[in-house]
Amino acid sequence: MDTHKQGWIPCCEEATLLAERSLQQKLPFWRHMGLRVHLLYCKYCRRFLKQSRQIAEAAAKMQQHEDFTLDPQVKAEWESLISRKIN
Amino acid sequence: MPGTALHMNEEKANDSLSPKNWVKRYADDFFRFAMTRVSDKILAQDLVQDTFLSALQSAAQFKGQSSERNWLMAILKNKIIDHYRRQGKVGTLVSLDDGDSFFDEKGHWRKDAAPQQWPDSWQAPGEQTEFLRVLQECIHKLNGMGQAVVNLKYLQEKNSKEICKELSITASNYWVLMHRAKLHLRSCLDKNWLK
Repeated sequence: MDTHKQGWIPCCEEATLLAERSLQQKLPFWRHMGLRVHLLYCKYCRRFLKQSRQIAEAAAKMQQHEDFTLDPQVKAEWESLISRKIN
Repeated sequence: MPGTALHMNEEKANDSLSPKNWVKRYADDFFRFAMTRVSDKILAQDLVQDTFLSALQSAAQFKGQSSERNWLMAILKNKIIDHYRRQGKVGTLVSLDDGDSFFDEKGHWRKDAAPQQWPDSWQAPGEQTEFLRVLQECIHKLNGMGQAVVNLKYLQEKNSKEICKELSITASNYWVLMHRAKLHLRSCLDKNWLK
């Protein structure tokens, strides 16, 4: 990935990637520090991190609403398709 | 179909296949599995059907080293990965060149792409339904691999290691895909829900 950072403080593009990683794993020390410092002065990346976390929470909730039922007619078609092939 | 899972757990490795029982035994589970990975009913059906057909064609290669179910499942997983690759082309996607740029050449947010503030009220019961509806639409709009990582992470609650293994991608590919997917989702919500 391209780096635009000056020293150990990441640019917004890198900071948002680090922010994303930080939601799922512990960052190496200097990465963590760089992200924290960036977030101190960048309200857009602070928003990104907050909203990304909210998206994750909402997406996890969504799974309970999804209904994956297979159409019985499709199954019947498959049954006859397979039996034609094996006979 | 209740009882199906039980039925399959009892299935032992066996050196012969019984195709006439496949639909009864596996169709529901395989369809559900495919749906959580592609979120498209017709496509998921096609993938399961293709799996059964390919399995019939290569039945001679089944040596009984794994159970019938695991053998079929491996075929289905390959079909799903082929689909992602055809659609998303892992390589090009990882180069960050997907048409939408959120950052300028210095890596700062572009003005028109910078995150808007969201009202805290989205979590209220009434608002939340709308948020979830739009979010679902936005997830459907993601391209193949982006959708795959989001679905596996949040709908399947898999960890990043498992996801990398399932999609045959590296850890750094995973973070890039996840990063891009979140940038797209967030921006899609700004455009379609915030207004």
